[in-house]
Amino acid sequence: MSSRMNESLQERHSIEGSHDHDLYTHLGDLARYLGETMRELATLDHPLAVSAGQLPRVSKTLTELTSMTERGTHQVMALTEDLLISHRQFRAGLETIQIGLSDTGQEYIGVRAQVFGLMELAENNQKALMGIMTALSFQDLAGQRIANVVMVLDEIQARLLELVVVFGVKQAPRYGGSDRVESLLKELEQAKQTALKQDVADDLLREFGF
Amino acid sequence: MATRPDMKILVVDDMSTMRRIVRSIFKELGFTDIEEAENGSDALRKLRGARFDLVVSDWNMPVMPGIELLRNIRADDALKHIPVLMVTAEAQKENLMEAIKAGVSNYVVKPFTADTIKQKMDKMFAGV
Repeated sequence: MSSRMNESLQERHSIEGSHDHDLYTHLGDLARYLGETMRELATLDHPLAVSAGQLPRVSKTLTELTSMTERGTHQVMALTEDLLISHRQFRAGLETIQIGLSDTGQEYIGVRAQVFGLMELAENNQKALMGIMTALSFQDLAGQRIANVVMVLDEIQARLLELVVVFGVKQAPRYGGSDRVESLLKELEQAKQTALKQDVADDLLREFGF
Repeated sequence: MATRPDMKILVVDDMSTMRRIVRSIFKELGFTDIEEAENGSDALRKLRGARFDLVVSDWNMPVMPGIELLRNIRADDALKHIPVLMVTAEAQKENLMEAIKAGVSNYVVKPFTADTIKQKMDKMFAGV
């Protein structure tokens, strides 16, 4: 192989290596950015934090958001159910008045018309109350979407970390050999079955120089 | 066979708010004997412990999803006659086809109204 060819190959490898390095840096930055964004999102609502020392991941915050909307929805439901119960009693009272008026044998045209009008109003109100109850199914639909977002976030984070490890070992073999990295990789693999812990992600990034 | 006010209904959903909504709708429609289960596995245990006339089940649930519950019900000689109404956010055609193949009695897509449930009930029990 001529020296010119050798130089050309070396130059090519150097360019490829530089591209790999750029990609690796970008991946690491992206993984770090995702982690920091999750942390920032988690701190938007301090009372949700389980402890001051360990900030919850964004997936935990989102899951707690679902619980918050669930509690709020139950409160609205309880009040709506109370209204439905008193409304049924109200309608029953009107029906009794209507029967009572019929039993008297008197015309009471004006009163009958009033009672009829109130019965119609009561029926419309009852339909509206049931409408409120069924409209509250938004909570379930929102909860399912949040669960999907949490799943996607966990998946993205796990995949980014895998890429950081793969490129990290390629770029600088010194990163790949330690027992700590092996143990973190095992945790990363296990995290595919469950949610990834923030400290595992942080440790892994730290091991690879981010 | 028409619906009866004393029908025993099992509402299966992992979300407590949805169970409460479905319970309220059935109460509004005149049914009072309603029990709840949090997933398919919990539902199967309850179905095997008492006589039920109707199962209203969500599709997406942890432990045992609605489609698996449906298959278990249809595979059990003691339960296979029970009508199953699937209530789900999954409006995809594939889900509907899967449910039909598994023997669903009818299918409601969330969000729904009390009128929709009533129509489905009338259809299901007119055909029983």
